Amino acid sequence: MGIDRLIRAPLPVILPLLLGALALAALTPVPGDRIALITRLGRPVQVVDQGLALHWPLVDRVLLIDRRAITTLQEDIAAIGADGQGLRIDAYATWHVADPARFATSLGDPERAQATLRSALAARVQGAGGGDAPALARGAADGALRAGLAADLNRYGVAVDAVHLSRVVPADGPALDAALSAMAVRADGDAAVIAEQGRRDAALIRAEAQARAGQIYAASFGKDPQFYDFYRAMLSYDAAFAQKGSHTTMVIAPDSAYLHHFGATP
Amino acid sequence: MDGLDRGKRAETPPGDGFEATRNGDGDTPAAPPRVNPWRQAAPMRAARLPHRAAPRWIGKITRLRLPRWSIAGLWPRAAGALALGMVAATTVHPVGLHQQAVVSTLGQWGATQGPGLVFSLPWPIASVRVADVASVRVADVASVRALALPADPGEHLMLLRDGALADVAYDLRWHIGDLRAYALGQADPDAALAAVAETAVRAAMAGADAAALTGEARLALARDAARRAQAMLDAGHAGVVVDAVVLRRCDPPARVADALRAVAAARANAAQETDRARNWGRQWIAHAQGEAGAFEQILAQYRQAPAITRRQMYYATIERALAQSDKVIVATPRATITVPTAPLHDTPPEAGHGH
Repeated sequence: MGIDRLIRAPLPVILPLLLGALALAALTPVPGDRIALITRLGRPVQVVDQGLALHWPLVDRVLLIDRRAITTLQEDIAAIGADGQGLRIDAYATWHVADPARFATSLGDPERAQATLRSALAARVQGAGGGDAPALARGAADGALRAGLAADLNRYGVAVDAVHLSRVVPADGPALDAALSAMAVRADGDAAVIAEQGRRDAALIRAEAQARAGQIYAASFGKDPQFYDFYRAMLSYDAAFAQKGSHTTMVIAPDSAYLHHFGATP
Repeated sequence: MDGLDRGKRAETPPGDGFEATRNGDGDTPAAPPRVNPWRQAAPMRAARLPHRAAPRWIGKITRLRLPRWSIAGLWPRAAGALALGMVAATTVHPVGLHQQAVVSTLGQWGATQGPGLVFSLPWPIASVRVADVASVRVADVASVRALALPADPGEHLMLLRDGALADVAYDLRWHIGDLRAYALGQADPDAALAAVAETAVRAAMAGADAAALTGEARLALARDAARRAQAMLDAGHAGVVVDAVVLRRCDPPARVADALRAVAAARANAAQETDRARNWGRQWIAHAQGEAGAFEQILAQYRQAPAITRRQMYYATIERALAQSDKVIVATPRATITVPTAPLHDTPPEAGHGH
């Protein structure tokens, strides 16, 4: 019965419905993360930043373009470092659409934009030429790269927020080999130096101990050098002849001090 | 409407024999008697009722009436309830303790709203995005947002300040600081965050020497990387808070590992060697102290009785020496010179330095 009534419904019923349909066709909500570009028969006519985009139905088309920052990464860019060795660089740019009309007419779909962005980025990084690799990794060239890329992409309606080099390493092959062998050579040298330093320190420590011992001896024995001479000789005889198992044959002169009383008359 | 009118006009419809006879008898053809039928006795009421309730429009309506619980009878009510439910469900949004919400009204995003109830216009005028923003480590491990790089298990070489390389793996822990900025900031937040993390860690490494890859210095490196990542994210208004960068691995490349192990071994050897020298020295000094102490003891005794002490030591020593030796006494004074026992008054043989 609903359809039946709708078909036979007079203007007061049809009109609001028609107006509603028209409104739906003429109004497009613009999400917060998009910009609406209204094109009339293919030509951009208006940009709507937010809210509802009002446009003619059928004649106009609404393109919703991402307004958020987009990250474009270009990997493995070949460059030459300050030392003449090859470098492999990953660079990325963060950018956003600044002029939707220009962006839509020149780059249009995101895929094409990414490809263009990547090649422009690679060209800029290569063109920036060499540099001290660690300095590049710390962002020494980022400002210049951003300015250069921004100039390149201005005509596409693209604004470049930042350019960073996310990886700077020696290129695989000779450059990497050279870097690694330099590390190895440095390590070998370090090892040799450290070993020598160890020996030096040990010798110094020993000499110091000997000197200290000498001081102790001198301080003690110097109190009576004459008696020390006698005392030390006795110790020495003891060590040389008086040990158990010593097989020494002693030939003693009868007039030696030891036998002084031997032949004496009591 | 017109049915009702017709009914009123046709108070006395034709084609009913009973009515016709009543009409023929009656004084006024159209007007019914002004008697309240409800006051009459039962038979009277039964006789009069059909006359009152007969109009055709009533019969029509009763015939049109649909069963009480049919779908058609229910649907306006159901639709109403559904609409009400939808409005209720899409206007009030509970936002949990670790969540934030952003209300988008006709595509326009409002400010970030914290935990509690968030109200909005009903769908489709407004929509609400609710997301977990906190990285709750203990309570819910799954909600920790951590970025672990590299994704593949292979070597991940990074350049150091002196041109050396290190194999580094790390985690970047983060949470959403501001949902609105996070949702509107980056088209692909994960890719952006990975690029930022990689840049920050590599920049920190490029400012460090190989010696800084262990212990305290390594922690400082991780902090430097986290600071750099935060600065880059803030510059891009990413709405992301970096909690920490954790260096999981920070090793020399595999190809120079041997050479670097040799350095470590040399360092250990050198340390051992100096330790040994130090021990030797201590021993040496202790020995010297012992010898000197013994001498001083005897010297003190000697000073009290020089001659006796000297002679006693002499005889005791020679006695011990001769007790262990074969003895030959030669009568001729010039026969031999092998006499270690020097006369007391002569110059003694050179004293040894041994110990």
